[in-house]
Amino acid sequence: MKTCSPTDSGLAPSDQKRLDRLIEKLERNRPSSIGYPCNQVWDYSSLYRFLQFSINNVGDPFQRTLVRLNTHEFEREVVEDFANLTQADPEDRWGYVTAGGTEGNMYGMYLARELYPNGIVYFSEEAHYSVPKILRLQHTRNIMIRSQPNGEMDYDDLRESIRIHRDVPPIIFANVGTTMRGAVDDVSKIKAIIKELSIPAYYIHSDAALSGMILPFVDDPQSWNFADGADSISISGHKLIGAPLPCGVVMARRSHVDRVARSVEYVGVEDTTIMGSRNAFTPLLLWYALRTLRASGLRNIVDQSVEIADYAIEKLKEIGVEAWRNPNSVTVVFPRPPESLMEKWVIAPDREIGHIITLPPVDRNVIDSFVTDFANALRSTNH
Amino acid sequence: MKQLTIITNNEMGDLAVITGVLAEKNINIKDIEADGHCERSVIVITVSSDSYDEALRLLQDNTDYQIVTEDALVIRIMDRPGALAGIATRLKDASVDVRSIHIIQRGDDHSIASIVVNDRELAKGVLSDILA
Repeated sequence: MKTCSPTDSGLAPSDQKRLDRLIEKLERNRPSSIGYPCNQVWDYSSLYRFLQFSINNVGDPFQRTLVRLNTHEFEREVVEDFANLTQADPEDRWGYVTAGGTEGNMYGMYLARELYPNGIVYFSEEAHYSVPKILRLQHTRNIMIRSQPNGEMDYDDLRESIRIHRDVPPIIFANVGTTMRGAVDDVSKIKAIIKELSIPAYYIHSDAALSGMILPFVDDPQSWNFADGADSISISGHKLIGAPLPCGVVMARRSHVDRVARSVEYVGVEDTTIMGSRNAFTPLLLWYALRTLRASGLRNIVDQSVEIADYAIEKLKEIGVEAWRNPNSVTVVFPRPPESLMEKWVIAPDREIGHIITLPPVDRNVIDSFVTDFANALRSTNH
Repeated sequence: MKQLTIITNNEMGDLAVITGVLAEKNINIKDIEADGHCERSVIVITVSSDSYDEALRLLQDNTDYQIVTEDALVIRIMDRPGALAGIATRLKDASVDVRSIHIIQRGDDHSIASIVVNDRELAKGVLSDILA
């Protein structure tokens, strides 16, 4: 009988070598990738046995489905945990596990646009590059708002921009931890502006990709979650929690989703998620991480990461590099370093700045090594 | 004829890079205008409609410049809160519907922004004093 499944025995030696080279490359580059916000310390080997099934979480995890090979039960528990962390009203919460922060942001913008078809989206120039892409895809009118030097939205600019379009519902895309500077757009300040302008209908989405798993565990969080006034929130799963596959969770007020679902039913589709087939393995990863780490473990990750961020700032300042971070952020920002440093360290520069993100396994040893290389690169450049 | 607007950091050799990249693929530049302003330079090139897409792709693939297609208007404004809002007001007063306003680059005292509207020709007239 001919084989009809992929196995190692069917692989040509040259292809096997390619896979071996790939794993070497990944292992080599992992320690130096400190500019990207991913916790790389985790062990999900207990879950590898689930990779033998063609599982699929198609559909709304809270709706009945005919597909039996799914992990909806676990997905619902993940959503519940995230909803608690974001202070969602127990009677007005809904969500699902996404392919990552961008899908969550797309869902938030989709929901907002369905609720307010003529609304204008306001987002800051520090927003992730995928935001204008989403807005273009959804044909939503949008206006970019200036940022302050720390990366936070310029609230005066927001006020003036909304004032001109007071007849149209504003849809605010708030960055809760900007990609480059880790700045948080304050949801309370945004709400105050809307109130000041006597605007009755509005929508606030929080893009909390990384900081959404930081702020629940700090003593003095900025205003960002459902209790503060957000209508939907997107959080990445593979960032602070850490996972081998990109994933995230989007949550929204159930009342909003129900309103949109009613209109979707007119076209004969009851699934309110964006995708068709959805990953059923990533909900297991998140569920496993939440159950094993628990709140105390997540708080430890946050505490340690903040401590390492402060250590990095101190060490960089010692060699004359003006490093800094925003409150409750693990993103250490500094002037764009010499190119020679970026050949060894993956630090994600953007125009005049660079940054590192001090999630595990970044520790004091990694910082010491990075700072030594930074100092050497500066010396070489000055010569 | 179609236009591409290229925003650079106003460094020596910008024009040579742009013309070189396009010349390598035999794309003829019909017209070129450069306006250097402090740390930013706005270069507008005109190419034939046939080579427009290829020129855009070549510049995107081979340079670090920001390139704006002619679907958008590129303007230069003061870098202060409310500046873009002022532009939106002018367009609203002229019954021009704004689809999007994006800041492309910010300098010490000026910003460059792109605007997409429902009536490009009308908007060009309204914003003629600040078109880049």
